[in-house]
Amino acid sequence: MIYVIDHKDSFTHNVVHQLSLFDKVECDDFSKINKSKLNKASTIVFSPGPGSPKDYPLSSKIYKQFKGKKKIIGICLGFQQILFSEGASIIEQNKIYHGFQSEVLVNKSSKLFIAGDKFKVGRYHSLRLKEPFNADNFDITMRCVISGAAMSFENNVDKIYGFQFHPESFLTINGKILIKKILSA
Amino acid sequence: MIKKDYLNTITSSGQPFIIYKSIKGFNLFTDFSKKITLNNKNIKGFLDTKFKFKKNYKNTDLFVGFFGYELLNNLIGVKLPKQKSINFPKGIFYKPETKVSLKEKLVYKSNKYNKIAKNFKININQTAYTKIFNKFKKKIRSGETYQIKICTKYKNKSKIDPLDFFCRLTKSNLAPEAFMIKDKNFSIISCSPENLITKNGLNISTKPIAGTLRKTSKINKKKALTFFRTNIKETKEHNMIVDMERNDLSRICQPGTVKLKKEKTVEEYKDLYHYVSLITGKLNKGVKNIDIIKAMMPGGSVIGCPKISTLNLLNKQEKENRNIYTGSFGYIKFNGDMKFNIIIRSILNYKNISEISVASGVVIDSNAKHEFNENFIKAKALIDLFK
Repeated sequence: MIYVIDHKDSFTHNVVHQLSLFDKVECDDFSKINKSKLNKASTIVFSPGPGSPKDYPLSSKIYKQFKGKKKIIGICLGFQQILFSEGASIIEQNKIYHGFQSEVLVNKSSKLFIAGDKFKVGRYHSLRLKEPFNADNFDITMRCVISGAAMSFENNVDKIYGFQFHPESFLTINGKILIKKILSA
Repeated sequence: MIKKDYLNTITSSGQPFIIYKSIKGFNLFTDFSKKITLNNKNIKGFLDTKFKFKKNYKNTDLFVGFFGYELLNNLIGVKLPKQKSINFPKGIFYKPETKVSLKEKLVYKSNKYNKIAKNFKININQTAYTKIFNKFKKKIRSGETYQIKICTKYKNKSKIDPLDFFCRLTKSNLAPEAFMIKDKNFSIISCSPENLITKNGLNISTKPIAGTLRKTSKINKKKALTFFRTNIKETKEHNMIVDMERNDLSRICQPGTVKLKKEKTVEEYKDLYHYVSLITGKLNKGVKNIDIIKAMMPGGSVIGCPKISTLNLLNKQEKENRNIYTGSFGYIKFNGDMKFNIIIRSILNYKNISEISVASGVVIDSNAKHEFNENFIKAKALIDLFK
């Protein structure tokens, strides 16, 4: 079972809908976490959402508690939430991407995707990862072709994955495949 | 056979009635046997009612009416701070005993004397608007909202003949979700173009609009499409709404059934072009109408995105109750089928005060002056009726 932690976003149920194609999915608001569902889940997903990771200390706590014990996936804010919990700074960016389709490029550090592949993806983020960023076993594996901003990471040791873009958006071509790869990793 | 002067007869009878655009013309509902004024306490019961109908389902086996903005907020757990209010009902539904089909061309001659004032007062001037605008832009920068609609309200005092207004409005702007309500102490006139929910059995669809272009002699439909496609700001705004509406349908639909049936097409109206998408889905078995209302309302395209945090930002900002504006009007049939629009482009006349609310979106690359004027353009078609 996949447990989606919803940060009150208007895209969370697109994520749920997409994940439901592969496994049973449960979804609760971040402030109303069901402990038994959380413990039962094989995968935890941190949803997109408004604001910044510092607004959601409960989600950071859950991340730290289950890191290495369950597969963890973060999307958009969820991506930032994981990196923030790993000590990263999440900052405002000059150019803001809301409802924007852009191209991302896979680099050599990816174990799941082929280096050099490009994907068209949908983006909805005001904030971004401040780099350089270093944490054990974490690699930035996709970047925006134009700005170079971090668009995905992999931690294949602890099975932690994140996308800054939205694989569930209609703007992301073959988003289903991206999710499938990560779920089966 | 409907008599030619039917509309004159009904309006002079003083009976309440409702007119709603149908595919071919209009439906008129009247002879109301029940009138339910909704509040936070009775709305759940109203929506949960298992309606009984006899074997022969009648075309009047339905409730027709509206949900106001505040009621819809409260239904999804969003509270409004204390606002200036005219104490207009939060929602009303009527059970009609008579339904009459009318042709698209409404024939009505007003013999009432319209006491119309031409001038309107706006509740937020351009300076105040710009201040709010800049505040919201900061909220976009910090990620609290991705798109937010600032509402301005135009008001004046006048006694109007709503049917006369509605007939003139449909002549100048025949909108697919147009409707009017005439009751004893209030009336609503709207040329809403936007359908929020069409539900037939397990099939459900929503048709969000984001993007409006004024028609000129130089712009045809094809050029309008090129304009929208190449305008990055319009495209981003629209994309956001499409993903949000997909999300809202996904809450209540079977996995894998939510489809973007028509992606970013242009619809042509008398004075303008709209940028429209159509999203469909198949409802989960066992989903109740109240679940559908809670998932879809208030309609996202007129609020902004993400819905909850944006609603909270809006409500904190707005000093006056929105009343019907960005609520929904439509009907619930006794077999469970529904159709609802989003109440925009509307006049609410209550206690002889007319109010017209309009809103336009702030995204990161919007311009305050442009959006303020956009609001005025949207209100103008309605304000012109007072001339």
